[in-house]
Amino acid sequence: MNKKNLCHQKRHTKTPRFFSFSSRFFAFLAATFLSGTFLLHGHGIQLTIIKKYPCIIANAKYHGSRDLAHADVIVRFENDKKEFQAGKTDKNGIFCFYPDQTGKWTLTVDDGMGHRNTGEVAVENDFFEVLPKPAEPSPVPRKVEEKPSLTQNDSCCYLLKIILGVLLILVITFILHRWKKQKSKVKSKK
Amino acid sequence: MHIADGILPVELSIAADAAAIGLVYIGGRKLETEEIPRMGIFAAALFIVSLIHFPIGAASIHLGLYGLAGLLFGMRAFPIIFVDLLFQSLIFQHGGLLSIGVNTLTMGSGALTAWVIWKLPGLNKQVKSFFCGLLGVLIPAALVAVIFILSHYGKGMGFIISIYVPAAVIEGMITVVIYNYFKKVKPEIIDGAEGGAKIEELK
Repeated sequence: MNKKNLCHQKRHTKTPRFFSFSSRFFAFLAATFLSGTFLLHGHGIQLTIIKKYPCIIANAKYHGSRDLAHADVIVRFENDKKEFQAGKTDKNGIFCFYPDQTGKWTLTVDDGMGHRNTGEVAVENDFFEVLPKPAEPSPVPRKVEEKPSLTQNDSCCYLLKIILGVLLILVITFILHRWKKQKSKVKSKK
Repeated sequence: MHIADGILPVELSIAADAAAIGLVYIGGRKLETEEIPRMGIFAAALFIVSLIHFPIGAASIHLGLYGLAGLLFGMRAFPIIFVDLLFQSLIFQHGGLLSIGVNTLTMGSGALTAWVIWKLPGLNKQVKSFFCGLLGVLIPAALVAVIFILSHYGKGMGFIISIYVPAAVIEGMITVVIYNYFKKVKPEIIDGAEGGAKIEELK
């Protein structure tokens, strides 16, 4: 009985097999999962944002330098709940929008397969202070439009009109004076 | 300063026409026979003077002599100005026939102000004549600006007054010169304006 028990005990007190097939399998799975996660993390989106008046250009790439083509992009201004713009990157992973005010703008890029990245860009006053370049002087001299000067005929006509006006005023004065004089004469006769 | 037809609302133009007719009637009431030639000659002078334009920047100004008209004729200046504006609009298309009332009221207001100033007691006559000429231009310019603002042309129309400031100063000085000339050559004209000697007495 003692021998039997001893044998049984020996069997049970055997060093546990941590590196059994099943444990190695699970370890392999875990390692694969972890490395996969690591690989997935390494496959994330890289966003490069360039400010160039009048637009903000975003270039989305996977970390593996592959362009993120046709990915969804949402643009938001600071804490606005409503999106400012929604669209997609082009085949080269480029997206562009025109900010209309200063502040912090947020771009969220999502490829629809679990890859997402958010980039922020601050638009300052100087962004809008881009003055247009002064126009280069044209080689051909501009024609200066001369004010049409009065010809001798026009001057004569103008003078004649003045004389006509003066004459008319004087004639009216004369008629009015005569009429008033006659009226006062009639009055005095009465 | 002449407002052309179609610029102001028709209702305003008609109302101004009615008011101007009333003032012209008041101004021409009980007209003495001897006053008529003086008024006619002054109207002709006003007509000629207002057609000589001097360019100032993009705009041009001309002498009005509305201050002198008020100084010499008082309320009689209204018929003079009306006749003057009527022929200006008929012959030169300056202003318009419908807006002649507004123009008569604005220009006449300058003459009326000058008359009030001239009647003020206790001021040097030369100083008074200067202010008659000055305000004879500035008051119409201010009224035109107010009319434009009320007709919703924007508050920027107030710049009209600034254009006429140099013209008003020049006209003020010219009025002083004319006053001095009349006083020296024919003082009875000024005396008549002062109400001292009547035309009958001068005869």
